[in-house]
Amino acid sequence: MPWEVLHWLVAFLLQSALLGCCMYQLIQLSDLEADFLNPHDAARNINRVVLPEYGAQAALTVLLLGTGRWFYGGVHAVLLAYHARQYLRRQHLADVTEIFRQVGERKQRETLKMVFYLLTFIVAIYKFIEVVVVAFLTPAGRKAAAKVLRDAAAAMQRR
Amino acid sequence: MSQPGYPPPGQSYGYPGQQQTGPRPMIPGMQSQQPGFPPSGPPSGPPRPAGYGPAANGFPGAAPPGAAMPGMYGAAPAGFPGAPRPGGMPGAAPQQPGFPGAPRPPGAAMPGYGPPQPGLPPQQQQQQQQQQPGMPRPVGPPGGMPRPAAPGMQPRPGFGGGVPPAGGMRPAVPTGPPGMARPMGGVPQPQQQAPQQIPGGPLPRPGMPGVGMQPGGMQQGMQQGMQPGMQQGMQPGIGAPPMGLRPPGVPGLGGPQPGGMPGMGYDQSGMQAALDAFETLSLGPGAPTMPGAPADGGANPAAFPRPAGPAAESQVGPPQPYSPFNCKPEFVRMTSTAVPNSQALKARWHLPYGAVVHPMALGGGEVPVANPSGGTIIRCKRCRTYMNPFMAWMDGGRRYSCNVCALVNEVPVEYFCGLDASGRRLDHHERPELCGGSVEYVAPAEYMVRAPMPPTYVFVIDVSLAAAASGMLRTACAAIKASLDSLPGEERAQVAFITFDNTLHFYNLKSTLTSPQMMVVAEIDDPFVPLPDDLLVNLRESRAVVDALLDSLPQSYCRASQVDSAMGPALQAAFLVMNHIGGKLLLFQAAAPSVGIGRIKARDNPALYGTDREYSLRTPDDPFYKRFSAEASRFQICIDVFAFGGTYMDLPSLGALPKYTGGQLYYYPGFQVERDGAKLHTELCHNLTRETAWEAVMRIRCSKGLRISAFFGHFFIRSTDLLALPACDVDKSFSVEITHEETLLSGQVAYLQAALLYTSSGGERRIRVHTMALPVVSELIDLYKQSDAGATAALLGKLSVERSYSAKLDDVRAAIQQRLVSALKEYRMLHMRGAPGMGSAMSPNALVLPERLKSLPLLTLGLSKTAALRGGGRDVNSDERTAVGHQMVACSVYDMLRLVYPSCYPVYEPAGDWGKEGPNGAVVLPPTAPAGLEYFNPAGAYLVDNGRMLLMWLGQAVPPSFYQQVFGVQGPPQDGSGLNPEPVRQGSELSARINAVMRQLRGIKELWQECWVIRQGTPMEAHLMPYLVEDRGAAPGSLAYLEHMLQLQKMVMAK
Repeated sequence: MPWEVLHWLVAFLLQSALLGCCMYQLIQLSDLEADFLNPHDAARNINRVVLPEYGAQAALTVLLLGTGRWFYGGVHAVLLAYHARQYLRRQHLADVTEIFRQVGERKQRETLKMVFYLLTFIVAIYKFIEVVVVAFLTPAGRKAAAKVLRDAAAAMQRR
Repeated sequence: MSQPGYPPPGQSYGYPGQQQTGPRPMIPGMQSQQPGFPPSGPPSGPPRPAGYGPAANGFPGAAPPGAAMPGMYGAAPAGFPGAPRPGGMPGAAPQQPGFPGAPRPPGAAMPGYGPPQPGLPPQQQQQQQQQQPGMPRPVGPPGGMPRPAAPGMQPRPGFGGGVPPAGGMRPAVPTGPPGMARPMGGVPQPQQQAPQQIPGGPLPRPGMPGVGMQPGGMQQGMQQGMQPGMQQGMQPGIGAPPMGLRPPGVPGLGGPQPGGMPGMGYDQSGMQAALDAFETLSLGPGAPTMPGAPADGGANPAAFPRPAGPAAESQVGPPQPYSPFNCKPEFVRMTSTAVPNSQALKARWHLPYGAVVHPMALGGGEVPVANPSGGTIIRCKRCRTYMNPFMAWMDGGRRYSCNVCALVNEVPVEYFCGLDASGRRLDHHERPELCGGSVEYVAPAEYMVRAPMPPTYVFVIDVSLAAAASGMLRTACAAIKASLDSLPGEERAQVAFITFDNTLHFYNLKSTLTSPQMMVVAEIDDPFVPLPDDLLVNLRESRAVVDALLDSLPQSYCRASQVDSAMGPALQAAFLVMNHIGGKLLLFQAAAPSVGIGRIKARDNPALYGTDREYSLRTPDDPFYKRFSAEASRFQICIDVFAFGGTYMDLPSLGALPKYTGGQLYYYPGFQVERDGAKLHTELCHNLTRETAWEAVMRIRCSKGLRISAFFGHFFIRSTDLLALPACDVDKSFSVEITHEETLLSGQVAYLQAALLYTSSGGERRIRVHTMALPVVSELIDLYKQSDAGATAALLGKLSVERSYSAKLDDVRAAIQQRLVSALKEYRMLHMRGAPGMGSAMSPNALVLPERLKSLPLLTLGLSKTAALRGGGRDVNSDERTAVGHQMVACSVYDMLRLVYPSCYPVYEPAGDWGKEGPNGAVVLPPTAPAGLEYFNPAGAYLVDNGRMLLMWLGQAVPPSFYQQVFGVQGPPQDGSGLNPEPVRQGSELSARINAVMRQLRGIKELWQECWVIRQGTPMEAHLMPYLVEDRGAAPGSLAYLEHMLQLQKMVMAK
């Protein structure tokens, strides 16, 4: 059981990282549109997080499929395939010379991705809490939980 | 006809047994893929000088390094002991081994024979006519169209097989500077109409009997005389028709004089009057059988509208300006000088809507300076619009309302002036910004981020084997040296030189030295600058050293053996040399970059055409190029690329360097100094000496509710509407597409203001402002009436080229066609709805063309036949495609029109005063002939000018006296040797006139046209074919004008 908790903990962390990357890119793009940022900086900032995002997403997919979460993993595999396609076509990085032409399209893409990440993030956080709770709902778990609580109470008392 | 030894006419048009056995002169960038013409080079590569290979072999690779170069001493820095400098070479070959001077194709030439070409064979035309009703709508290549057996070339009976006369082309070696002032404004208007002898019918003239009168037939020009009670609504220059878009009481217009605006005053109720502007063109099924027989009511291509002949300018010229205060059309040309008042109306205008802005246009003349003493610049507080004649004054002159955003601003005390009774400022005549659409300001310090930069030129020159062997190095050095005296900026100009093969060579040009000192850097993975100062020097101070360097460079490298070329590292090094100051970087690249960053792969793969990856052939391969140009633009570096490679050199990649830095790409395929030397010399001198704006930015503002949605040109977009132009010169134009941001526009007049902030070569920070007022209209017909066919075609071309970087060429061409069809459909509906009475007079399947856009179908046909958009992988190689595409994106409307529909000047008639100096000092040009072989007189000579080259076509029946007068030979050369109309033959008036015309056409502009002579019936004629846009081209799916119109008609009629 603790393995499962660990899986979901990692998944939860990866999901939040993905969400963060995505939001960061969106902020950069809207800053660029509003002329708070020049294209050179915007492209550099965006490109800095693109590969980490792809890596994290790939790791998450492997983790989910490796632990047999077929549906959840499958959904992520679709996105992974899309990322792989972008990467192979070398369209993953923002092109500083074309960024103004692409800004609308890119923003749309990032928004869609963010919605996706948000949904999967909710699933991850739900599952994470669920496994934590379920883990502690077994007799052994209850005992463990009771022990944890007692220890905590004792610690409080002692102080 | 029946010469012994030649097969009888009527055989297939091919040249069995013809083999090229020697170097064959090629027109740069063209490929002879015509059936029957054996290609002379590799199928996907540009022509390659035949002597090239042997030249490479002639150099033994073992060159001892370290030999001192004359005039220099190799001072390799201590850290680089191993920097080899191959200097002298044992047993060095002569300077240009393997390059036989001017190539002479072998093959016996023969005097012209055979009858004149009758154009399309009649049966064929008839067949097409009969096919059209009920035919499925053609998409893409019209497979349904019956085509003659030999695609690409019109079969020409009478010109049989057999050994053809080869050659007939020779490089034209000009003498003297080809520089005559280009006429102000658009297409030079010929003053004199030489009688034209055109087989297949005379040129269309409005109201020509027998052409315009047939119901259901070609109704050429206005329908005057045919429709009773109709007025001439649109004919430019005829009277003052009631067509006015001027809203009453527009503030700030300063009460334009009624006389100043002919063509205004349109009466809204007169829809009928509006419809006079129609031109119908019927291509009915009962149609035409013979070309040149319009009387039977058929479609006669000779009578189709085209921008040729004496009325060329009126067909593609700009419409009447809305306000006399508008800037000149040379500076800004709108595709329609009226603005649709709603998104809905705009959506019905299917053609591109926008402007071509040419801020530094020479044709616009001098721009007055508003504040020569550097006074304050009045701008709107909110939208930052510059003061212009359209501001509305109020409150006795104390406040003004901005014409762009309507904000009421206070007038600064020092700018205050009272108003007259009509609300104009009393001083508006004295202030250039109040009485003209174009004005320049001297910008104060707040418009500078640093002190104005001096004109800076960094020359990065390839000195590998190919550079020396082709003579490029010699020519370039000579041209640079010749331009040094007239570089802009006088004593402020700075120069630096870097040469490279597989190492980088820097030159210390310190003024105290007597000869330049060379430093070699062999480290190309991470190049560095060996000397902090003295690489980039003041030209005036170091002039002697620079001269010495330019003299010694060609000699030093004439025996170069190094074939590798480290272009990327050289660019990086140049960047380091100049990034503190910016300026122009001129890259001379003799062969494909082969080592270091940015080396290119042979990736031109025609098999990719038609696939989803096709666009990648036209976009940079290595991300280095885009990254580098973005960085260069950031540091105010403008890159001009001169490419000389004879084989594939990946111009789609190299082209990214000028594209994002405001530069230009010059391409000399297979450069040979004897052939292309003059071209390089002239173009380089012009590049260096033309007026240039440095460290510029341009912003285009438009009225509330409008927005610039796309930009086309060579620039870097720094912010949503700010174009960064490290350098902007007189030849660069920028195009924008305008969309509606709001569903409904509020005002009655909309404005467009383009402002270019730049540093002049004299070191002054300046702002050049062009303002244009445009009426807001609510009827589609008004948009058509104010449309500008030239600007529309130019914008369509620019956006199509841009689109070809992300889409298939087939799709791009289909999109052009689709836009045209949608526009014509819309117009037809307008026509039908608006004038029920006219429907009957017009045959039901007539093709209706808007009067002002009547030549647009031909221009779009020409567009899809330009080298940038034509055919597939086998038709044009990607280097040539890129070079032409770059020219199209950056050129002016005038140059675009010439490229899209080449001007064919008949230069054989002694009548008329063409070729002589006209009243305004410019040489009078003959009226152009249609760009189709069937219109060419076989007894005549035509000069075809597409802005990139001049092709002189000689008919088969040209009398020997013409050869005598113009070429100084007794008749058509029998030995296949080339002909050259230059220089002027002594005592021949005709020769003098032809040379004058050529000088006039070359004018002062970015590209200089080499002249090629092509005799009718020689294989060389295939090179002319792509420029005769009215004929069917070589590429599959390429249509002749008539076929194009038939297809268009079918598509317009389709539901």
